[in-house]
Amino acid sequence: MSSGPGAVDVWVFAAKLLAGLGAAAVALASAAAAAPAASAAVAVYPSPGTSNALPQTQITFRGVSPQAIGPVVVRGSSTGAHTGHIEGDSDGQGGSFLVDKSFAKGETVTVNTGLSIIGGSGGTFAFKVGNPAFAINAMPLPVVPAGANGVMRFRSRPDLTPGSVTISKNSAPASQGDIFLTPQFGPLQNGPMIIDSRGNLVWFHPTPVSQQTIASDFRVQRYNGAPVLTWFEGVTNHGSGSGQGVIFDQKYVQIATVHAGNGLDMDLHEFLISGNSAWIVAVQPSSVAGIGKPTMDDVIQEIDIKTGLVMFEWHALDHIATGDTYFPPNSGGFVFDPYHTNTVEPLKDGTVLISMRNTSAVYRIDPSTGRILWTLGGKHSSFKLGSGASFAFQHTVLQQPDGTLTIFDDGGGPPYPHSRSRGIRLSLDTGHMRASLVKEYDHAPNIQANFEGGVQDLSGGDVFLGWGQQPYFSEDNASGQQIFDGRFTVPTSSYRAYRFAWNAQPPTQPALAVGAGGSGTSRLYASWNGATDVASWQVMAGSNPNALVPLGSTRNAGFETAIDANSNAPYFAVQALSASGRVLASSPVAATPAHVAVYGHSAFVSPQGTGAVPASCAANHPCSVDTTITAGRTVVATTGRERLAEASGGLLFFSLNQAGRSLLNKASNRRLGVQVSIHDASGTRGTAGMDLIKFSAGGAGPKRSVVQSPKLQLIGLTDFVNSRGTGGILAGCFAAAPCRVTTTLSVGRTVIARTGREYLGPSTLGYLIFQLNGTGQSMLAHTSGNQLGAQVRISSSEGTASGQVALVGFS
Amino acid sequence: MTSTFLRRTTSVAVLLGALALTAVAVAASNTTVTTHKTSQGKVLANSRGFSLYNFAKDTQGGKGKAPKITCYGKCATAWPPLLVKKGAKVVAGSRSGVNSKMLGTTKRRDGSLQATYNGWPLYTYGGDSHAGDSTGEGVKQFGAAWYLLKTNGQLVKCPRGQGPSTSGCLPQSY
Repeated sequence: MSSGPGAVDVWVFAAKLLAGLGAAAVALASAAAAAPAASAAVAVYPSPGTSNALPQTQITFRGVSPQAIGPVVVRGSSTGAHTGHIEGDSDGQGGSFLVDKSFAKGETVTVNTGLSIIGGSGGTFAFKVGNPAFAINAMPLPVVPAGANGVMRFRSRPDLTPGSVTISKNSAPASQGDIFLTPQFGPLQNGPMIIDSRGNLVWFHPTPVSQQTIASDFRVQRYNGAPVLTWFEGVTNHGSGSGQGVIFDQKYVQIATVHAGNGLDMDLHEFLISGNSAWIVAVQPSSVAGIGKPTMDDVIQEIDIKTGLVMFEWHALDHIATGDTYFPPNSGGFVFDPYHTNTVEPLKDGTVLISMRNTSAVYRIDPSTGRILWTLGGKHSSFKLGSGASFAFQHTVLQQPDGTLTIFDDGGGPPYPHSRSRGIRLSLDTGHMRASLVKEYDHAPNIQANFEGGVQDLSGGDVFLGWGQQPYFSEDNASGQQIFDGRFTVPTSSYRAYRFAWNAQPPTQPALAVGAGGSGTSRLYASWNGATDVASWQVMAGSNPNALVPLGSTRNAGFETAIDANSNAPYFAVQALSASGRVLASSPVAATPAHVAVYGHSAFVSPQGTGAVPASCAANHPCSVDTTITAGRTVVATTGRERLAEASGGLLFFSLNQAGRSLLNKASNRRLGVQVSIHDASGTRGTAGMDLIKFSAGGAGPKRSVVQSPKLQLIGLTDFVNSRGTGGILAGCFAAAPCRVTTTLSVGRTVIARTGREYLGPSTLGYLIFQLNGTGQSMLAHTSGNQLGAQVRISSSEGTASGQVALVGFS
Repeated sequence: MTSTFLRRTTSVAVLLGALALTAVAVAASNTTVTTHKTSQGKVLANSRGFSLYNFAKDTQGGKGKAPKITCYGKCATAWPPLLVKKGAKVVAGSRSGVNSKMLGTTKRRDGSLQATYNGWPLYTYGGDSHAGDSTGEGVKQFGAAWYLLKTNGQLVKCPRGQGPSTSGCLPQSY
């Protein structure tokens, strides 16, 4: 077993201090009224004999009520007497003496109390202040390029650009729950990120990589009796972090922040909540005699989340010889980093498990004394490791309920002891001090992470693995089969990866983006960052933003649901619906961007080469539109500007040029495929591919007339019928709500077609499809000049339009 | 050596008639090294458009020193060497930018010839499933890293801040 200064050194050190105490000036704690009658042993931090205490340290007492701590006399060997006061821990089991001014580097501090101090001499103990060199500053992150598919992008949330993920395997029965990641090398943003098993984003809380900020150890824990999200947030320098712990509730509201104590910043590797406290790591580059480079002291702390007080502190430099490292001082980096702690876990028996990458060892310590009880692995293992049980540069070492240890064995280096990383489960026989390999969890194909990574026990014997430096995260079942595998598409990666069940509803509104769809539809993009219970989206539309009506609903399809709404309404909103149809929340109203649109798949052209295409103006101003029709690269028609009323539709008439007429005459089946492009003076464009269909008609044709209603209108008074008697009436619905239209065509008193209700979206055009009955088809077949005069009546609850039109047959 | 072999093969072909004519055709089938554009830029490729790699464990040849090949067995299965048939040459693809002066061959243990560029033995990668792929770049396998090559003979090392790994170039924050 390795040791630092050692117990003997501590006692010699303490005895010298006590001898020199004499008639030192004393400072009484403000809470010193209570009699110092406590007889139970009290643990204190910095522990007696500590040589690396921080200048800003508080003096922590545990195992005694704050009121019973009694008088505390503190004297620095160079700074003299220190005044201060006691603040109690939130659990009532201890408190800290907070000095009014910092201690000096290198001085010895003597504390005199009326308590029975573990490791002290009665009520007196001493510690030495170390020589902190500097704080951890951010290094530029090695951000990976985004490439073509490296980030997710969302129309409704352009501010979110997390690294994209690829799920290559998701075999049933992979565990339920979402996946918790923290992309750390961009490409564009880092931050805590939840995805589902199909790779859909659930929640992302971004920080731009330009700020050099990362998140790590993002997971679900319990705090105050409820599930919470926790993660580290801060900067990094060669794998050492400087930041804070963040706690969000199930509404994504930050309810607590955890800071390291005693003047330190929190490291990125561990943030474990246990009851009302958090176990964390902090790192401090320190000047150590005999080492020519600042040496990183790893400081383990337990922090009272409510008060921020330090409840426990342990310095690696006090207990583990720097020579135990596999990461020598001449390794790269800005400091000599002998330990690199990545896991701290308080065990049920009151001891604490600590994993250090750079010693390739795991330590179990007695927190009351700081003494190392055993060491697993490394240069001085207390255990004999059985076949396959050795590990190197490991991360995330946890004791499971059955007593086994799960370890992410990086097999890192240099030197590299393994050619691959793996998860392992070890059983420990503390009677014979043997460690045996119980199970191994590999990635297929084998990969090697030089740093980071973790293993998480799931229910049913499954384990979830985060592959650290490697962009992968995977799940093995109890049989060791890899049943899930995912990765960041580009080589960003996550310090750890977890799977948890998570239900949350953000306090923010769902987001909505609206764009012009094809052929007069609107395309909506709905999302709600972090919402886990959205089953479907209800689309609301209308011409008045304060009076939107439902259009219909669409099933939720991942982070962002694209919805094609058959409407050119100027305003839209969406409602997030639960599985039971309850409205969870509504988006803000989004205005449809001004645009023009071309409708339909066919335009009919007379023998003289004239025709028309339906178009609409979805704007709050009249549109002035010119039209260009091309067949391949040949322009077959252009028009001057034609006017379309605002928020309305109509026909844009064109005349084919010589080339167009020639192409149409030669076209097979009398159909010429063209691209119709319309361009409004405001700059917006609409395009559609359609067939130009040649028809023939003779004579002047029947009289035409129309009576419109404001909200339901006939568009054009010539309607076309195919050889099977099927035709379409071009109509427009300009109501806030959809128009559900019935159509009747008659000649004189003879009804030749009648339809059921047909749907026209609000503020949009469409064809009302009818089928001529036998009489109607016969009439059209025998009419002079292929033009049958007919009365059309379209009707809905929004109004009725009727007119005298010409029905023209085509084939 | 190559030209001598060709002359000898041709004379045999004349003697053996039609069968030998086939042999002449095989012998004349040169190995072409060309280039293509990848996300790492313009790099060497074989005639089928598959990227060519160097193996850092090999020793570069040059100035009369033969390259040392270390990739055999499973390694050569995963990373097939770019072979040059006996009697054939390794040639630069037209307008490819490949410097024909940097092309050469070196003998493998079994006597077969492997194409070299700037002294580096050349390999394709079994993980590249499509022409134009470069998935082997920065991959660490069989004890060392594999890198693409530029037309100037330099290796395409991992970007700054990244290093080779079992999955290719990855950030090395530690």
